[in-house]
Order: sequence, then structure tokens, then C-alpha cells
Amino acid sequence: MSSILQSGVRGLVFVTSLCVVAPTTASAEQSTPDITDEQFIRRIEALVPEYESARAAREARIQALREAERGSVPLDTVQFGPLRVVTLQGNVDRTRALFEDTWNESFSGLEVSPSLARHLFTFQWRARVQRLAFAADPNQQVVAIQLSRARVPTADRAKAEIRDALSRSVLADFPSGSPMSAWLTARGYPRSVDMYRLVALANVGATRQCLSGDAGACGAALGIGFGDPGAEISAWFEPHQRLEMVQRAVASRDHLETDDALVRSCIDLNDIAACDSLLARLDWVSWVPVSDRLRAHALWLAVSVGGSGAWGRALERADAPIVDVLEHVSGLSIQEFLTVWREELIRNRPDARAGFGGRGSRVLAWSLIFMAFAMRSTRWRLA
Amino acid sequence: MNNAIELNGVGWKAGKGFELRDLTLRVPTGSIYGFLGPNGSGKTTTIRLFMGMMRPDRGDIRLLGKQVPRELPRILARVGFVPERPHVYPALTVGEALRYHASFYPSWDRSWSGDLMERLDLDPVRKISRMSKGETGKLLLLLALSQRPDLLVLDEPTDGLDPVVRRDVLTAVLDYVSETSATVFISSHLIHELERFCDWVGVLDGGQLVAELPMQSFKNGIKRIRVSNAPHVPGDTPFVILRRSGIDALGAMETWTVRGWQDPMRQYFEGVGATLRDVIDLDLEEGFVELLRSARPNNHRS
Amino acid sequence: MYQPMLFIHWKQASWPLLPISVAAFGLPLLSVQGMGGNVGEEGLFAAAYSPLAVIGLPLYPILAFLTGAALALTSWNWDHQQNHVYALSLPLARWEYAMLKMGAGAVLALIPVTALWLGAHVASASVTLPVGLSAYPNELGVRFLLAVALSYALFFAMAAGTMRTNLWIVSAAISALVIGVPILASFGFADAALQFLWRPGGPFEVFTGNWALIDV
Repeated sequence: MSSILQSGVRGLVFVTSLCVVAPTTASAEQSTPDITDEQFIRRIEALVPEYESARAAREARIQALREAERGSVPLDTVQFGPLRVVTLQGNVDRTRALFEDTWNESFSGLEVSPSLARHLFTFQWRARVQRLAFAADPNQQVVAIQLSRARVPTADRAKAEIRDALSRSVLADFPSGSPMSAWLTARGYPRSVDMYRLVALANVGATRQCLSGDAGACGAALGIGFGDPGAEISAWFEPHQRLEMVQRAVASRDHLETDDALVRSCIDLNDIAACDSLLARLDWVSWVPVSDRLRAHALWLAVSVGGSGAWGRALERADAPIVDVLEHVSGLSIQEFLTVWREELIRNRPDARAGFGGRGSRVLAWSLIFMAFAMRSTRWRLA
Repeated sequence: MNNAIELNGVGWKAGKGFELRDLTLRVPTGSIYGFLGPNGSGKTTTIRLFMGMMRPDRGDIRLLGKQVPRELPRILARVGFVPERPHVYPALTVGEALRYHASFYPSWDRSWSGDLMERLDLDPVRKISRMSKGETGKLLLLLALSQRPDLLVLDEPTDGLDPVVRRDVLTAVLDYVSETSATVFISSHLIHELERFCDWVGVLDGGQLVAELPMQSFKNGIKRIRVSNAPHVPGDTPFVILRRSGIDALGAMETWTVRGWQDPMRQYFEGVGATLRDVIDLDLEEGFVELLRSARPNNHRS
Repeated sequence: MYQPMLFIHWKQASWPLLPISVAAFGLPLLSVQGMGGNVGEEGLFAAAYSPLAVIGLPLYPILAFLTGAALALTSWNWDHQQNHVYALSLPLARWEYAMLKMGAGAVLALIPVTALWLGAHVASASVTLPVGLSAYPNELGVRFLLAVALSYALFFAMAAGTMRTNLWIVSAAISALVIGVPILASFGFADAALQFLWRPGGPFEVFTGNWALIDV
């Protein structure tokens, strides 16, 4: 009997058993009301090994099919720096070019990333198969990058996908529990233009003042320090925002204790002065209500500014406070870095006007075309 | 220019149904031309063709001496048209409709239009959608006459109107004609209505013009005659035999319906050895019916 | 001729035009609601929010589309009801008649466009914009005008045509969508196929993109 049939039979047995057990149980409950929950659970548990066995057989079969498929879809591996990318043979040159460009633009300091070495990437310019089937090292994590078949692929889109995949792959370099891992709650590689829009629209005074040129406010917006919170925090955040920041800190259970008198005063009595005092204690972690993607953007900008060896320096200070990490990675003081970060946002301010500019002439041209059709209407006879 | 409307060999077909075949029609300038025909004979279609609203499949059309449709805008500036169904915008008032219509006609006579509006008893602030059929009919005529047309085309203008309104409409037309010697083309299936004032009559049936002649000839020229010992084959007659019927049991007496009869034609019967027993006048309606009968394919002719 | 034509069109179009104009005036004002008269003071406390004015309501292009359609359809409505007999009996070339109608509708289109422009100015003046944000009432008005013009021209051409022509157009459009797009999609051109109409240079380009009154 073939393995599929065996799996199918096992599955059928399992399902049938359930069908038998359930009404049996029900009828047993009706006819023999004294069966206990314990006995019922034991019966179910007895069936679980059968189910696991059927599932393993199914997985093996799928793996075998993939092996067979591998033989029909020729693949090749592109090696670039620390990156290994499996792709279709016909896509090798394009894959190499895309990864090379992306790496050089944004990730040139990441060659020392230990996480990156544990990742294997697959790439399809236009997804031909569901997954590329090949023998992968079980210790490696395979990250698939593929552009949808339904859309016309573009280099920009491909590079955005690659950037995203690479940035997600390396974040595991920061050990769990480190300030950076707590700070970087967002993954991915945000675009500067999107971050400008985020900052410009954010309902936070800190971001407003950051755009106006106050680097300290930029730090507050990123949640990497408040400077002199007594003077500035009230300008940067509304009272209800400061209250919520305290509530988040309390909910984290790590930084503020619920039985703290100030905490009770802030949360229960809405004593904003108490909230401000509490926030003054939070020197490196912040519950600033600005998008987490902003922090990811700041980190990758620091890597980009830091150039060669930047990621290695990040790894050296993986457990350090965030300000230290950013300074070390970028090679700039935090004030200088925040200024660079702000300038990056301003530089990427989108050309976002409601106006239509010169394209108005095209619209008028189309309008004239339609009007010409109206002049030529054949409605001008009856019948 | 002798003819206000000229159609030469005009043909038009609607799918597999109705067809106008080889229509040749002449409306003399200054005449009042009555266009007769039963319902569905093609009167409105004919009007739409020479008004340029439809394109004929073949043939030539001239209106007021000009080619249709080449010079249509210039022609229509001199044509007043009253369609079969009201074509004015229902949400307008009478006054608004007049102002709208007037804007297209340089020849619009405002003061005369006002007088006529009073004569026809139309209220300028009355909304068209609230007007009766008679009032709407009068409005359409007012619009057509106010532009002082050289040619007035009326498609069943009195259809569905009460006698009083009908009289008002026809009187207004006649008054206009007497003042301006304009040409009038009026279509109707009501023969006795046209009888009183038309100079010419054209009879349309089944898409074919079966007769076109002066009204007088039409009125006086169709007779029913009783003939005895009539020849089997009449030969060359000075009149047109529309129908032979009523052969009695002895085969001696026949009833002929003829067109174009004149009294001196009695001599024909002497020449063929027949005897003319009686000449019976037909009224216009009977004559019209006989004309139609004779034109139809199942006509009984010997 | 033009004035009476304009009057006739007004009589037909006034009933949809007035509510459309009210909506056009009110839309910019509605879009700045929730800004509390001072951007940044009200709103959600969480990740950055986008005020309605900034992300650009899709209602603007929809309104423009409806405005053009309403004007065009009302322009020809009575003619269709009366089977075009009146128009055909007038001493006017067909194209001249259509031009007069088109011009009348174009003038009437200025009513909702002006309403929107005024509303945009009032809305912009009613909020204090922080550093980094700008209001674009004139640009919004111009874009609206262009979108209305395109919609009007398209529907005018369709309304002026015969029912048979319009059925052909609609059938062709549906066939292209139902048959053509899946075929192109199988070759990976769905993007291009669907975006043909909306892409830069396409006929409906003006309806897409940034309709924001207030933007960064």
C-alpha cells in the first residue's frame, strides 16, 4: 500500500474514531452517565499518536515531492558577501545585481552579523513556483523573497523586499532583553518619505518641534531620552499622552511598580505632576506614542551613516543603552546624529501637493477627445 | 422655384417591416397641400424624411428649392413645424418655451406672436406639463407661426383635439396663409377636415403615393357609374377605373368606380356598345376609400 | 441662443446641482473636523494619525465624477424623452447644437467647482497649521475642475449618442474587464492592464493621486 494511501487510511481512522468516540461518548454519557472527564481525555490522548504518525507521513511525502520538483526547476546559488541566495538559473544575474545594489546602498556594514550567516535567502523575480525546492541546512532559516506574478515586477519593488528581508534577519543580533531589542519593536526597513509623513502628521508636540529644528525633541520623539524633562516634556507631550506613557510603563511591569505612591497618584488621581516625576525616572526607555517604525528607521540610518563596520560596532555594544548604540554605530554624537536624522526626513519630504501641475493639459486633451466624440454622435437621425 | 417640397424616387425601409417605395411628391409653392392616408401609411415618416430628421435610402429631396440635408439649417430657418406629438420641454412655461424657440429664428415676430398668443388664449405663465392636449396643440402652432415661416409643415395637428380647438387651429393657419401666401403641408387621416381648405391632396397608402391631384379633381372626379353591357376588356378609357364590381346574376349590369370623370366621357360607352345607366357622386370619404382600395393588392379589377 | 440654452439646462440640472454644490462646499470643511481648530491638539493618542484633510478623502474624485455625470445626463434628458424631434427641427447644425449644450453645462459646472474652492479656503482658514503642513485650496479647486471637466465630457459624449452606441461601449468595457484582464493577468500584466486607465497619461489619471487639502 503506498504511503499516501496509508496516510489517508490513518487519517480516516482518526476521523472515524472521533466520530465514533463523540457520539459514543454522548450516548455513553446518556447511557452510562458515570464516565469521567479523565477517562474521556485519556481516550482522546490515545488517538493522538495515530494522528501524529499520519501527519509525519504526509510531511515526508511533501518533502519527496519537493525533491522531485527540484529536479525539474533548475536552481542556482548566488554568493555575495555574507549572503547566500538561491534563485532560478535564469535569474542569477538579476539576483546578484539587485542584492549587490541593496547591500551597497543600505547594508554594507552588516557583513559581521551572526544572524545573517544563519539565514539563507531565496529569490524569485516573478514567482514561478510556490516555493523553491532544494536541500536546505536544517540549522539555517530560509527567507523567501518573491515578487507576485500578478504584478509587473520592478527593481524598486524588489529592492524594497530585499531590504525588508535583510533588516528582519539581523535584528536577532541584539540579545533578548537588551535595550535595543526592547526599543526595536518594529521590523522592516521603512522609507524616509513615509517617516517624514509620519513625523509631520504625528499628534505629538515632540515631532512638531523636531521638524522645527529641536534635536532634543527629535530624541524625545524617538524615545531615546527627554533631555530636561521638567522643562520640555510638557511642551512635547499633552497631559493625557504623559498619563498614557505612565500607564504603558506600568503595564510593562519592568520599570514602574503599581504600588508606587506616585504611580497611584498619577493613574488613579490623574495627577500630571506625579506622572511627570515618574517619566523623569525613565532615562532610556520610553513609551512615546510614536510609531515604532520610526525607531527602525533611525537605526538603519545610523548604520548607513556609520558605513563600513557599523554593524560590528552595534554588536560590540549590543547590551548598551540605545543612545550609546546609536552613537557607536553612526560615529556621531547623539545630538549630531539626531540632526542628521532630522535632515534625512526633511530631505525626503514628499512632493505632495494636491495640485496637478502640467498634467492638467493631458486631462484637457482627454476631455477634448470625448467632446469630439459627442460632436460625431450618430444620434442625429431618428430611426 | 415652383415646388416648396420635392421628393423624387425616395425610398426608405425599416428593417423587414414598413417600406416607402419610390415616393415622388411635389408640393407647389403657395399651395395648401393635404397629405392623406390611413394610420401607418407613412405620412409621419415622409415628413421626417423631407425635414431631414431621417436619411432616405435612395432618392432626392429638395425643400424650398434647396437640397436636403446639405443645406438643412438654412432651410429649417424658414420652416415652421408642428409634429405629431408635442416636442416641447414639459417643465417650461409657455413664455419660457417661446423665448427659447425665438432665440433660434431671426425672423421671429414678437408682437405678432403676442397677438396670436392672445387669440389662441394661451397663458404665458402656464406650465406646459399642466396644459391640456388642446392647449399644447395651440402652443405648438403658435411656436411654428411666430417664426413667420415660408413653409408650414403640420403633422396631424388636430388629432385628438376637440372641435373648438380644431377650428381655432385651422383658422389660425388659414389666416396666416392668407396674409403671407406661405405653403402649407398638412397631414391627416381626417379627409373632411382637409376638404375645406386644401388645394392639393396627396394620398399615401402602404408607403406608396397612390394619388396626387388638385383637391377639386379629387372631390369631383371620383364617381360611381352603373353600366350595362359593359365590355369585358374596357380598352383605352378616358378615365381611370378604380374598381369594377357588382356584376348581377344576368351579367348585364356592372358598377364601376372611376377617377377623373368628366361628363363628356359618356361618349366612350356609346363607342363600346355599353349603356351608361347612372352616375353617382361620392363624398370625399367614399372617394378616398375607393382610392385606397384600388391601390391595394387585393383590389378586384377586371 | 446660448442664454436660453443655459436657462434650459439650469432648469433641468438645478435639482442635482444644488445638493452637489452643498456637498462640494462642505467636504473640505468636513475634512478638517477633528482638528479642533489647531492641528495636533486633538485626535488619537497612539501612533501618528492622519487627519482626513491630509490623506485626501476619496470623496473628492467621486463627487467630481458625479458632478460631471449629473450635468451631462440632465443636458440630454429632455431630448431623449422627446426623441430629439425638437432639436432636429431647429435651424442649427447638429454639432452647433451639441456645442451650445456643452457650453451651457460647462458654465453650470463652475457652480460646484466654485463652491468647493470656497469651502477649501474657508476650511484652510479655520485651522492653524503647524510647521510642516500646508494647505492647498487653489490646487484642490483646480484638480476638482479638471476632474469635473473630464467626467462631464465623457458622459456628455455618451449621453449624446444612441442607446445602441452606449450599449456597445458598455459591452466592450465589461468584456475587457471580464475577459481581457484575466488573460493579461496570466501573463503577469494585470498591473498594467488595470492601471492603464489610471496611470499617468491615462484618461482617468486625474481621479487618482493626492486629493489632500492639507498635506505635508
